[in-house]
Amino acid sequence: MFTKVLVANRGEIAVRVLRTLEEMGVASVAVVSEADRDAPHAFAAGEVYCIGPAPAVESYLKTEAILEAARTSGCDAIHPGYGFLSENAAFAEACEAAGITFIGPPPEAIRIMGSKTRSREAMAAAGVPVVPGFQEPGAGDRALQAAAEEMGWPVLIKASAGGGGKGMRVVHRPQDFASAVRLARDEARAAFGDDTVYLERYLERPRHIEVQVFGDAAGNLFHLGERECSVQRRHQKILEESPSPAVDAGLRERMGRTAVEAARAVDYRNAGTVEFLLDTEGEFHFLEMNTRLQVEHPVTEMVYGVDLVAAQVLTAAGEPLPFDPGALRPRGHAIEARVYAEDPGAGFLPQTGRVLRLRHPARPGLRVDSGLAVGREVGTQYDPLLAKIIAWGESRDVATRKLRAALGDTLILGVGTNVDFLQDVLALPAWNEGRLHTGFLEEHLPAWGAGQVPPPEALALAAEASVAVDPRVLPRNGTGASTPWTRIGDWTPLGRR
Amino acid sequence: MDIRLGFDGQVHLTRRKGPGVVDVVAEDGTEYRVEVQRLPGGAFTTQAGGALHPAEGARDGETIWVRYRGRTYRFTLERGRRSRRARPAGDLSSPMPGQVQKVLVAEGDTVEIDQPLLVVEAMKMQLEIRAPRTGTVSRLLAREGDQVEAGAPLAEVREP
Repeated sequence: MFTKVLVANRGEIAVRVLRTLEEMGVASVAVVSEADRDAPHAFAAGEVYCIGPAPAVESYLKTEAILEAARTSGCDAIHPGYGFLSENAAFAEACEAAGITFIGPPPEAIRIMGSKTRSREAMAAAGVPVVPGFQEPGAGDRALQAAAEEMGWPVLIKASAGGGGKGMRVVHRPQDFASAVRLARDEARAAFGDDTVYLERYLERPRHIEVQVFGDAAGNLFHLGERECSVQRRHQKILEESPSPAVDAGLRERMGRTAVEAARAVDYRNAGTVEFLLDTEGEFHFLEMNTRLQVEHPVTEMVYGVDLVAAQVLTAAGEPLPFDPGALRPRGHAIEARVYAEDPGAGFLPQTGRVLRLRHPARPGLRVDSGLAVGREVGTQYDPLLAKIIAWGESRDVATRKLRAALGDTLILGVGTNVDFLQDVLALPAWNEGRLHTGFLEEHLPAWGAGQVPPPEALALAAEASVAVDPRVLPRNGTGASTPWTRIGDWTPLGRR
Repeated sequence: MDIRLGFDGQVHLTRRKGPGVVDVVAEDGTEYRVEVQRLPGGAFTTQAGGALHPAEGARDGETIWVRYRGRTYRFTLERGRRSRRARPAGDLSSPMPGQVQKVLVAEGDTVEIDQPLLVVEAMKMQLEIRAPRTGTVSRLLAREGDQVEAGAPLAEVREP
């Protein structure tokens, strides 16, 4: 087993990985940017190193700074989390060159599956069905337009080097194509440093179904069932669940087998996810493979009773898994809600602010993975995912009700979030009937929040709160100035930054 | 004491009659009395017409957050005697903090409804700011490279 592991990430996933390392008795190191010195993940590790200023490109994306921290602290392995450098083959290779184990798949598998164009070619060669598309890395905008005309509308423009919905655009009309490609390229360049795009036929009302695969140290490849992630906005997931209400045992067997074959085609090791689109005819098509742990991995963990991060660490250390893959059986139903700093009533625009009050929900069958703490600033530097709330129940119905209740218990004041919105989604008949597809939110909640009127009690509360001095509101960082409110009465601010 | 609270573009009037006693004034002038009790630790209970409900609130400068019966509200404290003037329909402001990446038009240009005027980049996303109406770009308030805050005015499009 490793002596010491560095977690090259931040926020909720860094906390989650560090917790498993602690439970495994493995020493751990966290890295922070200057803005994250007091972040929750800094306190979840044995040692902390500051690796640069706030912008990710100067800290969490800086290979050399991370390797320096690993060397200085004597780490023999690095866990990359998700996002950042987790799917960067060059980073994986740099780790290996430095004599540090990269906890993840082999760099070549990352490289192939990390290029949407190369991965589609590899899948086609392996006989895995793919979504019809056009990929020619050097193609200019005019060639793309011609290809789109030939494929037929609507067309989806996607970034070759990335995911998470960035650089992605649906084009319904030919006249919108040119500017859509330009914007997609700009986004892709900013997010991944590569403006190569490719096209896919945009399927109507598809369901996003992905399969968790795993390759252990002995080279055995297996799967841990599927997750449905159809409820999305801006092509980013906000609700995920396992199992999928659309997948029966037969389909699970076929998709699982296909996913394992996809992983085998690139000699995969460690944790990965093969994403498919299930069309309205019941056919599934390969979309992409994510060569890392996914944000929504907790729903699989809760249904199969496994710790995937522990499995990753053991596999990378060459050790056997603590469970028999052949004996894995799913039990019950798990649903995850992603809490984002965004305003669903204003086009899901990212929100900023400072966390004034916070309460995470807690009840039997609930799991909360969070990167929030009171007093923390939520800015635009990093991804707006704040926390994940996952509920498990014996049935989908029970899990839904539990998750709704947990969201009702969740208190985050100071920055706008989508908590209320998520509660409303889970109350929709279409959700409860499992009638999901990637256009679900546009269809069922297109104008959420419009015309909302605050009840008199809320107004009265705000009026009262505006007058009373709150002793727990900390002065803003850098202002230095005291206000009349901090001098009146018996209240004393808790601190000055 | 009159306290005006902004919510989603509308201004609401409340009258604080004493500690924990607030009359909320409806548009037609009728008043609805709510009793608010502050609990240790910063929580509240409210009582109106019999039922007692727990709630939570927090203030940060001019912004007041309230969580009441499973809903989160964000209010702004409105200073001044008059309600906030609603922004004229042709004014465009930045939806979020970011940087102006491209300015696609000039002052005086005629534009069509939905025509892209500027591109703002934030959180690695490119957002097109589009003309809300057909008309003339009467003012352009941002240049390429400008850092803007949420709500910062960017341009005005007026009737041709």
